[in-house]
Amino acid sequence: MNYWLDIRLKIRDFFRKHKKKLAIIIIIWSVIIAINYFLKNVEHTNEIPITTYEPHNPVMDEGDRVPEAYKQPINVLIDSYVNYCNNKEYEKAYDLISNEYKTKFLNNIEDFKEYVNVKFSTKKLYNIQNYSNIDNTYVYRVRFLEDILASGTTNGYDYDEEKIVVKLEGDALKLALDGYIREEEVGIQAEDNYFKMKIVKKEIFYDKVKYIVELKNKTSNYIVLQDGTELSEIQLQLTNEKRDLVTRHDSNIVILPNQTKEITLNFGEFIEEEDNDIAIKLNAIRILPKFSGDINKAKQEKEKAIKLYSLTINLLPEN
Amino acid sequence: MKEEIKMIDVILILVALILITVNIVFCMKIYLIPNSNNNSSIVRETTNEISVDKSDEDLIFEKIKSMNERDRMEFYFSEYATYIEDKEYKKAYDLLYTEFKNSYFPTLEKFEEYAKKIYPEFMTFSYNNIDRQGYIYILNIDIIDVSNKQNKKSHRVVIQENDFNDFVLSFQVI
Repeated sequence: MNYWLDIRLKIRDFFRKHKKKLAIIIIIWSVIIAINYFLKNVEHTNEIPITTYEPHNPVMDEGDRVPEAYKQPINVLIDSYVNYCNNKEYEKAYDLISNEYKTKFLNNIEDFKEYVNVKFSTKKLYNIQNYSNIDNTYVYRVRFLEDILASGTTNGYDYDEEKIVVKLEGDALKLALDGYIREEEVGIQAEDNYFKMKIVKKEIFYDKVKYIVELKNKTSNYIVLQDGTELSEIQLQLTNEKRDLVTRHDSNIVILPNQTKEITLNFGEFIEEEDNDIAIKLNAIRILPKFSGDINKAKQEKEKAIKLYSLTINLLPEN
Repeated sequence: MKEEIKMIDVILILVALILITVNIVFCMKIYLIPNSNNNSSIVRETTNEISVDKSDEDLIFEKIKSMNERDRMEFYFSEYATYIEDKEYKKAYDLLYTEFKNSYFPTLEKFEEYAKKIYPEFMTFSYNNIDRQGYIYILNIDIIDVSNKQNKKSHRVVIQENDFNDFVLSFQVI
């Protein structure tokens, strides 16, 4: 009993005698632990090998950048989309596409399945590169390629690429395919004695703009706007230049007698461009009593034209 | 007595400072020379560990860390080629991407047979262009037979770097 009491007294005595030193030791020990904790947390932050690949830095227009908080969610969104497509999980991939895009271009999931089956006929690797960002819309080039690590490029290697556009829909990031950005109502009309033209809306893509146009032939003649026999038959006037219609070589734009039809005028125009759309120019309108569509007869048919003229439809709002 | 206590305090503080310094030095060493086998956050296939002396590994790691990406890719390929030249086929085989191995060289023997047939005994390389697809690099390389420089084979090598000196590769089978 005395032995234990003696030990307790000695310990108490020791602590009393050396409390200052013990306090210093405890403080220093705490500092060491704190330093270790700090270094453990900052450890390895700069370990990743540096490459010149910066997927979220815009390569076409450095004006607007992808917000830091969106980078990882965009990675996850595109990665999920490609993985779902690779695994043929159509519904899950379809859910990641914006409602606006689906309503306009992929209203039916069967169409989407068909698209996926063609594009992802084999498992694809992908990589992304931010191109441009405008109005909280983030445009990425996504390259799809075969698994070149598995093949070693033994049979060569190729890739196809698509512009995928990411933007907020509600509070979730969604994607649109084919570089589709948005739609704008236009509602401009032009009319003369021969036909009526209404530019209904404009669909803006990353690398093109499409004007949806309604045409009404008011005559019993053929109205030829484009048949490939003239140069630059339809153009888009920009602030600084004119762009020809992007169309198939053999694509005629003809309004049959008394016909009403809707056409799409497709012009190349990148969103980074500073130019404004000023006007649509119909440079070679031909009112013909007969139109065969045969390029060899075009000259004779044109000679019998009731009227040949041009028309410029102003796209800018009038002051 | 008071002076004695102060002296002890000073000694204690000095000892503690030494301990802190040692602690920082060791921690900074870990921070600056991380383990090259540390997994990256992205799940990727990693190569088998290659047994090298720890100090050699550190030296290699430091050397690689100072390189730009093109030099790193060339270094990785030269590592593979050195194994081939040294007839260490197992080590070279272990660097190959699993799916590639499964498709083209399901056994080490098949790979060894191929390597002996395709690669000259002493070779040098001419690196042409390097293409990058995301985090995957495609190197166009001419393999030149040192004993007969006319004997030149071009092929593509695909490399994915997971971390410093942690990579997998495949190549165009010719």
